[in-house]
Amino acid sequence: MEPPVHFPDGGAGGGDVGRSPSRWGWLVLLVGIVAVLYGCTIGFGPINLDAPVAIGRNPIVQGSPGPAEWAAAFTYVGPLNLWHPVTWWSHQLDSLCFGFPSWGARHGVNLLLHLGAAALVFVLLVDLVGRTRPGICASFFASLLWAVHPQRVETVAWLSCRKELLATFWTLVAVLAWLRFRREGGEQERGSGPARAWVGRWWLASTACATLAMASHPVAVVLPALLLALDRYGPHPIGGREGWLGWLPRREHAVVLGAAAATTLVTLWLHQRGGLSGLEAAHGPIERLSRMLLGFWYYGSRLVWPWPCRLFEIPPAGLQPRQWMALGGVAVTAVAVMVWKRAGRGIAGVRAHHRDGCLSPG
Amino acid sequence: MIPAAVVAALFVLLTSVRLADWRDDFALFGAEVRLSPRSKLAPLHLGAAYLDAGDPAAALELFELSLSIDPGFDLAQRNAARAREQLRSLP
Repeated sequence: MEPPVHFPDGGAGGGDVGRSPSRWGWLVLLVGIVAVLYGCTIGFGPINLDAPVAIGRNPIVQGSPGPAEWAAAFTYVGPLNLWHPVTWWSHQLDSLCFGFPSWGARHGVNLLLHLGAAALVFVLLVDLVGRTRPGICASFFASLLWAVHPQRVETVAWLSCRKELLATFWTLVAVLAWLRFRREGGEQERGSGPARAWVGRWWLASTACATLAMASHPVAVVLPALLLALDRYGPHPIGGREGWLGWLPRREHAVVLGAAAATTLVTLWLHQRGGLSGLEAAHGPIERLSRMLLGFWYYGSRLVWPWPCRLFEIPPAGLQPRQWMALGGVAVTAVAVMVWKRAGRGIAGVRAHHRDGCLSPG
Repeated sequence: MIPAAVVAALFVLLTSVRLADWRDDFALFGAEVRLSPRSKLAPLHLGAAYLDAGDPAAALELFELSLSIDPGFDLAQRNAARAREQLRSLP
């Protein structure tokens, strides 16, 4: 394991060229391409898969939701037995603003969330690699590839994927706010910034957005691990602890960790009561675990080779659940080891590379 | 940056093709039946789209396709029964 790399400039300022107008030009170009590509979804209707239970026949979303429905969203889990109140509130807000069902407007909101996420990915990458011209150019292409990847169609065009879009959006805002929180902390330590309490506005913003992300989709419970990784390898690494001790949470992680623990417990408790309309109960724990690992393998492989896109992926013929599990387990372990070995060098290397001007924008 | 631009252009092309599949149930589940011939869910959902559109004969054919993949699939059995009922009530 390589030690985290410290940047003497304190982070995003490595090779910083200030607020370069070209950054905004790239951002507008990115949002424009994504909007034109996905704009057709506004003319789509609902797909008869989850959308009826999430929106069409959902008693708390139908019509014009009042205070009782808004309150019910906090505990309502629907036939899928999934706790995501922020997603229900989002669907309710659509009903209030556009009427019910207004499928086109709902698709429009999905599109706006994806555009926002694409813009945030760009801003985040620029923060991570530095505001040099090559860094901005590389960030543009990386965020463009993320936003126009064929696997992304499912998330944008499927109305019941609102939860994924919301979780992604709030996760990205939370990470960006966390980076700013750490940057302010770094300035304070070096004496170049005003003295503040350890909880500042950016800490509050990050913690609030992380909680919103988890209440949009439980998958966002990985956020604390992401923040810990950023604290170790990001542009504002936290020193003072050597080796694996550097991975231990600090007091500023407590609220996000608590929210993640609570979300995990609620989700597991609901699934014990028959998640996914009882479909999960039909499979034993080994098969469920094997499906989860196979899912990692499937989405990982689709990320690299996205075509043809399928909605229903069937495991290879003749493979038994334990064999799927072994296959998925090997794939997940390989990726985890690769990330563990490369994470520090990855971000730090790209930043150093760009700072030195080794990467030509052409 | 040229390789990244080429991959991005390819992604834009593939995404626009895939977006056409998502325009309605018939396009999406029709593509799934073609792409995943071993999926019991793809013919089930395409059959449900035909049933909702008032074509129980086409729907029944698809539910039977789903049952040929998994004879014990209860959703396909229930939908096939609904399709047969609608076919009997047709003038």
